[in-house]
Amino acid sequence: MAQTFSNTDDDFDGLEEFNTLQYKYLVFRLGSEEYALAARHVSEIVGMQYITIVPNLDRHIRGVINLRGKVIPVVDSRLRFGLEEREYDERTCIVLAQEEEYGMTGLIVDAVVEVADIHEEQISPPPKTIKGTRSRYILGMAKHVDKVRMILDLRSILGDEHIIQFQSIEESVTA
Amino acid sequence: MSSKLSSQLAQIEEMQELVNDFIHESLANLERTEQLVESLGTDDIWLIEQNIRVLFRTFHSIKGVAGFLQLAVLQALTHEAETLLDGIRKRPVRQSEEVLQTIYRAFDGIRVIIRAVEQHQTDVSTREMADELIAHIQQFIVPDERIDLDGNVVPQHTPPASAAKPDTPKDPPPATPPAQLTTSEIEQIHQKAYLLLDELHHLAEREKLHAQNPALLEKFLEDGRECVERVNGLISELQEESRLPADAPAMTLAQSALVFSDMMAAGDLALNDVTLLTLQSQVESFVEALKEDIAPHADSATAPVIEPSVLLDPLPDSLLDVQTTPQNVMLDDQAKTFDGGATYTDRSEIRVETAKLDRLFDLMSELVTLQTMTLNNPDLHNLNLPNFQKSAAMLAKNIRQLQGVTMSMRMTPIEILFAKMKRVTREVATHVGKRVELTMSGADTEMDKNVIELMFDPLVHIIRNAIDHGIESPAERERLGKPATGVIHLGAMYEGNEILITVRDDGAGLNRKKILQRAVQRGLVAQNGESLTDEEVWKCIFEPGFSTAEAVTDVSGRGVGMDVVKQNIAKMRGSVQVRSREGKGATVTLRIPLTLASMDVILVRVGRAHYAIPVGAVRQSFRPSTDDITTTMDGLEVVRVRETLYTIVRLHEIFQHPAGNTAITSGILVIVETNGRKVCLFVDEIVGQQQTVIKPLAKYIGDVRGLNGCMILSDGTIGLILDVEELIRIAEEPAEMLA
Repeated sequence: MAQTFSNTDDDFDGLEEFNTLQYKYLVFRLGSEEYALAARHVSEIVGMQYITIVPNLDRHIRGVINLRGKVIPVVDSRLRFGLEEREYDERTCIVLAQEEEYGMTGLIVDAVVEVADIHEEQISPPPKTIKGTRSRYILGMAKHVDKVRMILDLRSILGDEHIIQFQSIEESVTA
Repeated sequence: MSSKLSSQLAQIEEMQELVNDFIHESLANLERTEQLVESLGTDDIWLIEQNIRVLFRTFHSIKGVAGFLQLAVLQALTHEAETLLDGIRKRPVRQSEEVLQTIYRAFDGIRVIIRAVEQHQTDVSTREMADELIAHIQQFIVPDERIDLDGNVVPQHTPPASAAKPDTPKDPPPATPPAQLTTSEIEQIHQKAYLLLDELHHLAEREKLHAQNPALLEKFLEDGRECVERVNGLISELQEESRLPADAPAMTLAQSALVFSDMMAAGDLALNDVTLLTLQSQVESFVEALKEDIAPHADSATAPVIEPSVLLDPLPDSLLDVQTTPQNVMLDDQAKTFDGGATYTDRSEIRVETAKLDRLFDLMSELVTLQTMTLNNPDLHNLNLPNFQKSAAMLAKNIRQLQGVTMSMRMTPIEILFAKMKRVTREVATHVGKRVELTMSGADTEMDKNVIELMFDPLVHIIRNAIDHGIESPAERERLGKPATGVIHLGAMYEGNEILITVRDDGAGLNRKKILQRAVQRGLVAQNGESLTDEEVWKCIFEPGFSTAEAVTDVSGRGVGMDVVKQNIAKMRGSVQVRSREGKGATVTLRIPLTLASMDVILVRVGRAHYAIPVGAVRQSFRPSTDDITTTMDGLEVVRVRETLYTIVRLHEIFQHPAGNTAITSGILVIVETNGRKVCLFVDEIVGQQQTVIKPLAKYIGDVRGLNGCMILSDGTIGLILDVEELIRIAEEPAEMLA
């Protein structure tokens, strides 16, 4: 199992700190873009594993996995964001995110990049062009070297019924 | 300032805790004792005497705490109920229907008030209801008894205790004391002694609570004196009734307790924990000595036997039966609590929050899953590990035992549920003017507590229906040569992993013609369904809104009932079946899984997916041959098994995932049935049968049509549990719905 990191992993010191410090973000990659998710949501990252398909669900909900006896739904972030489907590889992993209303949910991402500090002054509001309906999935944009990382609002991502077209967001951001 | 505030907050919190405890305790007590009310309507004096004490105590302790919590309405109502019960305690004879009804209403009323307290922290909103109920109760209180009682319990209208004595036939005037006390008199003395200790106990408890709070303390001191006075009164009554010579040890002890309590009541002695403890120990030794002094006349002080000398006893021989009934054992157990004096809790039990039990259950099921995953770990494959296997076997055995114990913690006898049905039966029967007797068997059958709670509504509906529609009126029954009193039998028994609950009546049975007529009217069956089997006709009564009653009564006829039964039972993964013989009666059989936490399933594989079918739904499985299969013009596949045709349901089509194989002849067909409807499921193979713990699909996913939940398989992957009823419904829908 390609365990990239885990909150319980020995390699990762200062678990407490990780969870409590507000400016910690988990950065992951989908295609060429990087996204950041507040670390307080993230409880664990596990490698790809067998996913039981649950029939008749939205396409982006891949199914359920068994995490130490708990049944956890898994969402394919690519499909959720309207990106094109891609074969899972050894870098693909499942970010287990905890959300108040929906409980624990797994997000399949292309790869985990790092755990980064993002301070408030680094965060700028989403550009005007993507304000409106879609901006609610993005809490802000964080500059990082020559890139921009999109800080995600987990709740709206899980809760909204529409497929989010992140393609257009990226376009508008890079434009 | 802030420390003062925080101490106030702490007090409020403490108070809140006290109120919560009171609410739970009281509701539990009411629940436990309500079933005893029924026995007051029997001719069994011994039973009445035993049970009335328990009932009296229930009300008495609620009243005590209500007074302390300043719940005036609750206090007033329990006081009135207590007065009524005390009357019965004094004259333990068969009680009329109305009295029973009244006691039940008191139970209901108290519950309503307690619920109100739970919600609003006060009982004022229920005052009107309570006043009405109190007025109702008062009709049944004989004035004599009222005075008599109040001498002991309520000092407000206290005439001197001895004044009331000549009125009660059981207590001959003390002027002509016989040499010996009758056993029932001794019993009465014991009871008073118990009351005495009870009062003291209350007092001590309250002292403990109040000592910290000046405002409460003041109130307590006020009440406390009154209470001590009451104790004082009880002591002198006991002294008098025991008719012991003045130099008996008990008398000396009584004298010193009297002096002491006099001083406390008068304020010469402070009212605090020290004085209270002293008084308590004095009273305790007095009661002990008293018991000893009067005991020689009876065989045993704790197991009273009523002597024929009890003047009122109209049926002395009924005693013989009582001594041998199993109920007796239970009552004896309950009675034990009383003899010890101020014992409050039954020490053989502790109360646990159900949430904790549920958590334990979850952990237990996770443990079982992890165990399977560990022991069947692929890494161990093909290894020869004799020592490991030995340890593994021991571990497995222990876990199984642990699982058994965990399961059993939620199991309780169905008895309380059945006992509640007695009340329902009597009320409904009285209401519709019929005579019905409820008999029961298998009341000791144990079931998951959660299931028992869910069973209440369905059972009430079924019994109502049986009385209203099944049992004939007494006149009609006599005309038919049946006994005037109809019999409804309530039975419970185990059958495999299920429990069978049957409600059988000896009434008229279901009226096929009427049901058919109504079914046709409502469009449930095609014009004149004469060709339908009885079984198919009976199914109509479970349709929503179905009723054949000509007039809507309070009892039934609104057409809500049997469909609710069916829904509730289905929720528990159970089934309902009706059988009927015209003129002989009807039987409703409920089949309920023993516990909702686990179930037996047949595991099947379709492509890569594993599905679990509840064992109860599986009828037959077989490998079909090409000849048996027919495809209709609209693409529907049917298979013929002997003379019956079944629709084939391809699971991978309904659930839209890749199939393993599509040729029916190379797979397996499984016939499943629920509520009498059958279809044939097409699967790749049958993997096996196992007991499993049901887990809901994640909240994020919600309900999925055709699935009931999921389970963790031994290899750690997840299997989906099929909702057979829904699958059949899907199969019966027009084909385009599936696309």
